[in-house]
Amino acid sequence: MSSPLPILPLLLGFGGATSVLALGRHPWRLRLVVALFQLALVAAILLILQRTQEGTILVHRTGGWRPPLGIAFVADRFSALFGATVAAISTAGVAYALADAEAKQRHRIMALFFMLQAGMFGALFTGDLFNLYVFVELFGVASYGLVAYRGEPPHVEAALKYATLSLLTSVLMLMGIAAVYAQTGTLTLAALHEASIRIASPSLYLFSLTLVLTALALKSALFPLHFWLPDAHSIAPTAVSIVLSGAVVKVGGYGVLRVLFSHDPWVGEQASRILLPLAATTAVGAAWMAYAQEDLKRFLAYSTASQMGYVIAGGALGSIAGLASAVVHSTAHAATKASLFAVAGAAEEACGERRWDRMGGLAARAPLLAIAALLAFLSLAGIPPLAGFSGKFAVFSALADREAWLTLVALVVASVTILVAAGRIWLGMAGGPGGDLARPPSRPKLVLAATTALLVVLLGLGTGPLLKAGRAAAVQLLDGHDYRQAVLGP
Amino acid sequence: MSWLLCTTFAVLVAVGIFHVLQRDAIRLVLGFSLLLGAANLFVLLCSSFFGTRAPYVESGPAGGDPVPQVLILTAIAIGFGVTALLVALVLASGQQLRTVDLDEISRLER
Repeated sequence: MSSPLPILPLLLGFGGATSVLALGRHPWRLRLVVALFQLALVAAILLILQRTQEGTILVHRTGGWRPPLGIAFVADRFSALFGATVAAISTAGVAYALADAEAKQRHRIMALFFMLQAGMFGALFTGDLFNLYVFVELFGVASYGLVAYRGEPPHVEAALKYATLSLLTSVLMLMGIAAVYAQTGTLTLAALHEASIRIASPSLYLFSLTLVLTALALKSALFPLHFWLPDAHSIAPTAVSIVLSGAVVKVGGYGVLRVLFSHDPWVGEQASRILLPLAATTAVGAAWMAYAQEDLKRFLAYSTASQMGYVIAGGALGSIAGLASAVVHSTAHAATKASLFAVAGAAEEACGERRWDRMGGLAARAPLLAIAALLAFLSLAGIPPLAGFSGKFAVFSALADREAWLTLVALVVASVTILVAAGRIWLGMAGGPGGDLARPPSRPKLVLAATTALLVVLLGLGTGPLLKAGRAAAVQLLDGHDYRQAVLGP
Repeated sequence: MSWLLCTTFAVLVAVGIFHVLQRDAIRLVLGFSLLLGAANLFVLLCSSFFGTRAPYVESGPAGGDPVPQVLILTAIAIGFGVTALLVALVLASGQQLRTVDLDEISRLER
């Protein structure tokens, strides 16, 4: 049904960015404006979530033009669930940045955060392939800025690496979109289904699609396009790491799945042959790399790449259980990783150390932080009843359903590696003699770490509804009839 | 005319990739903007030049497909923005790290 809701988060993001720049020089006014727009964003997403969970598909046709002539913004169950994750994690990141960033730069950083959100929501809710490219660029540009804003050498280096790689792949994406258009005559995602049935040369079409997916796969850190991630995610300021690791990679993964499953099933089947081995390699390789890290945030960054392997593996199966598991695991991992980065940021500040083996004695020195860390690490390792377990279990059972044994074995190996590494790191951080901290962790950061850890527990306990919503989203996405009817119909 | 565009596209991509692979970050930016130009040309190449009609145009001779040309306009604007950002990053790297040599920049990390 027609509704302006899908475009609302986008407008609120742009509005937030400009208002913050215009009004944000005064600290209290800045907080007020940020809180106002962030709350409005969350409210808009909740509204979208509530409406789509009833099964309606919300469509906004910009300028009143009907696709394929006009561009539609569409919110269905699948995009709304990802949108909810993105909104929650971005709120955590914005809250952390308000507590963290130096006052002088704060309004610029907030403007970038709002731009980033506008880009992500645009990418989630757009119904047009070229529009997707525009929004991927938009949130990309905002994220390079956020990685680099401190302007110190490591930040500049990480941002340069991230920006270069990501921009090169977006050139490929542009070419791929042109090639897709040349073969299908449309850029509307809803119209690709019909067009992909009568493709003259399937192999050429798959090649074009590969170009499109390269940019999205890089954003979601799929092997072999993962190597920028550890630098960017670990060196970025903690508030930025929360959003990059929690939300931005998920939007990349969402883009891959959305583009693939807008097509006729044969495209997804062909793609899963390539995506499953790549996802398995990502999961195992990144988990092994994570095991070797001494820098806590670098470990977290590698484990993000590893967990994205699970999400892509689940989604690439193309089954209802598989796509549902992708939704569940990305939600679970987003909460877990936000909590872990909040803990890591607070611990880094408290101990004056980035290396986990030198943080020792956290249990005695900052018990609340150590408990939050324990919950988040257990969730990352996939211990029931926490969120990470339900996500991983859903992915494993979806793989077993489709008898993708090799991928399943790889993911189990990755899981065990992360379990061992997480246990080792938590013991290293929490154990050991107590003593005085370099300085006490700031209260807002502690509260944030505790809140996100609580979210991890709640998500773990409330897996049932989430899994149900994920399944419904997968059914709606794979069937696609309602989506096409809503976008292309009268 | 299409062979001319094809050759130009190929040359632009070749020169662009050559520059992107250099150690100098400034040449990387130059190579990147060449690749962007190549991509825009590719979008044009993918469009049909003859026999299509713009939407809502009922009469008159059939001509080229307007959609890819609109895409190119958007892509040029985006390309301009991201190139400016890349230049800013290279500038920051020149000021902060005192080098624009990519090998040296990644050596500094260790």
